[in-house]
Amino acid sequence: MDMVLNAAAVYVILMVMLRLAGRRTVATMTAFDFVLLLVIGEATQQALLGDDVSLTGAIVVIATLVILNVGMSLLKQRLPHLSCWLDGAPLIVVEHGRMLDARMRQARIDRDDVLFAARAAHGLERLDQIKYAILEASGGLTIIPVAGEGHARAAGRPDSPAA
Amino acid sequence: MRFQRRYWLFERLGWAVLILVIAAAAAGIFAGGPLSAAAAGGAAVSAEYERFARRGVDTRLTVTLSAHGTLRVQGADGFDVAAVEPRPAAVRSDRGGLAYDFATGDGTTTVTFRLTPRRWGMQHLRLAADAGAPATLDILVYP
Repeated sequence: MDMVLNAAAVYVILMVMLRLAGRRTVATMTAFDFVLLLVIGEATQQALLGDDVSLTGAIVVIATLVILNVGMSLLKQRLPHLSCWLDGAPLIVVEHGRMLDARMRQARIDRDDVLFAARAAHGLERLDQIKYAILEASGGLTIIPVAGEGHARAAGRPDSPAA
Repeated sequence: MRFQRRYWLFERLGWAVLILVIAAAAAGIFAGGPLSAAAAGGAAVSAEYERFARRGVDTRLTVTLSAHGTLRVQGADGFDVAAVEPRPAAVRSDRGGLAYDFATGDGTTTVTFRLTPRRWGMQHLRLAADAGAPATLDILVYP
């Protein structure tokens, strides 16, 4: 009983916390972010299992987390609004070479982030070569170059350059 | 596509199994719930305990002695005694088990044990007072 409730509570709390941290934090992964994530994991572990060292306890906790995650994904499929709130929606931050300053400030992205993503994905050098820069829900920046500019990198994932 | 369909079916079955596991855990099949509460014994010695326990996780056992303050415990090799409340006046080795002497107050003695299971599998605890029928507790310890 306690195990299931504990796991469910931790799931909900983590979901809210990581949402508050913002998608930038999840995607950028500086050394500090990485350490922070480890520490969060450590703190969570205490809340999840406490001094329970049994295999059974671990199985129950894992089952609870997995089912909650599956249930959440099913729920998101049916309720697009929920999906927006939990995962965020893609956001255009550069339009035809023009930075949308207010949006970028709110999303905590600057010109350098956009140029970095543009260089990494397409070898672009200037903002005006960018048709659209989109901050994806996953936290990555997708760059769509103006027709004829840059080179698409064959092996690169579309959102691989971190914002 | 046939493989994918089978895979999806397998996935759904897996979810069902996990949901069953969670429901069982919530009900107390893995200790700590209504299905786990159990009682045993008679007039001389009675006990409230948990039918299910997990290895390394403390389980509580409350014993009531109707008269004399001596409790003999056998078959507790698979447990560490983490705490006994109230503290016994003496603990003796007794017929392959332990005998706890408690200073009695008003006649009945209620003792709470906190036990840490160290071995998984079925454990049989035998509790006896000086007179009367003993109580046998069957505790299933999960790994």
